[in-house]
Amino acid sequence: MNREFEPDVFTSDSYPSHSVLQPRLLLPVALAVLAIQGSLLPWVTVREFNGDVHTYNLLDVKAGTSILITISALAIIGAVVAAFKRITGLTIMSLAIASLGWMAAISGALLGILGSLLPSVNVAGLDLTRASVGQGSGVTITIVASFSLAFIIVRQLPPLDMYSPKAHLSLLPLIALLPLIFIAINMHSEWMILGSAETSYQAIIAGDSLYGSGLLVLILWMNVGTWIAAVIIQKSLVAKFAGLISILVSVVVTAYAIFLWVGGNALSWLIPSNVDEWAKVSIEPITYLVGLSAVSLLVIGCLSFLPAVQGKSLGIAERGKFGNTRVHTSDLTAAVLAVIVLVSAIYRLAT
Amino acid sequence: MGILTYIAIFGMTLIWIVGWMGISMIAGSFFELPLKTTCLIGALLGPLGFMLTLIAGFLEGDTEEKFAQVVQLGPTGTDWDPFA
Repeated sequence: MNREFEPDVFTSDSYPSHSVLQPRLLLPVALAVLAIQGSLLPWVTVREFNGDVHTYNLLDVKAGTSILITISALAIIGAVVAAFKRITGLTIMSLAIASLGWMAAISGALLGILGSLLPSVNVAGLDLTRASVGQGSGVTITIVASFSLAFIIVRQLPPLDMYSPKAHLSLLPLIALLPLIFIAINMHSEWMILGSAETSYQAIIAGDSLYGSGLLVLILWMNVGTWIAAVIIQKSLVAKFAGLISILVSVVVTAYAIFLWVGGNALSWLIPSNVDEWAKVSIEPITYLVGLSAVSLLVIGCLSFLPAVQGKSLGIAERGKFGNTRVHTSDLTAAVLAVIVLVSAIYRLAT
Repeated sequence: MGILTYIAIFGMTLIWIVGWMGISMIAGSFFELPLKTTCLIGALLGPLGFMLTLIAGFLEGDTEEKFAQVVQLGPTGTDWDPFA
């Protein structure tokens, strides 16, 4: 069959041994555990006007425990099957975890619909009702872990395997994912606080309560997906497409951060000094960090159009030296994820 | 109530997964991509899988166009009448 491949994508040297052809088991298992751990973290955050914050996760839903047990059981069955028939088992595991990921995504979408049904309370152009409900960090962790696991399977399938070398991953998409995921998580964090903790009235403005943020969050997640696709499909078309969306997203997020900063300061300046205590405006540090991340994402988006940058890659099939033993990079990543999950679980139990 | 919530949540997720699987299958069949691939991409990645199917289709179309020999197997553009 005649095909034209990019020279760095498909070479016989890319497959040093048979063990590299199949994904190793530890990383998918670690990702599945991470996705399940994500479902135990907050999925929905409700902020009261007195500053109190309530969080809810999958276990707070009726039959949530049964749902989690069913998904965990399916994932365990997949892991057992994967020990004998790798791809089949990982597909079962990935489908189970994907259903958890979609539950998280659908819960976010339903939250948006629910928020739109509540009567709006407008203060200085901000809808405080929308600011009172938002997504939690667990949604991000569950979706990213389930996507990563799904891509491990998808990159083995023809014809995508032709464009996805088993020995290395593109570096630029991996770098792009860092500011992008940071922005995606912090769209649901506090950007501005109206009022103070001393008074009974306090409104917390999150990034997802700003005008048009629903559509932006949707495009942000699509961009996360396209960059993950660019990690595995090493074609310039995919990287350029993801880069273009990143440029658009970063321009809008930067504008959000600038307008909020300008608007917040203007509001603070306009409020008379005698009401200053209960109508204090405070811009949170996360606003500046999101702004900086958006600028770095803009630079990365522009870099994606340069062929010299697209060619940079990271070896994954090579065994890295860890002490006296040589360990597979994927196993090392799995170990790091396992430590993060363990530390997070211990921290949650302790607090 | 618990069992109904369980069925409702799993049912909704199943409809989502099967729906996107179907959409990806249709898009994949247009580009003549393998059925197993398009099914799994749609089921696992949802809307992103649909997008990935389109990207894979365009990439495949690109490579095949460059090397394919034009072989006319039969008359094209002839409609088949189901009532004939």
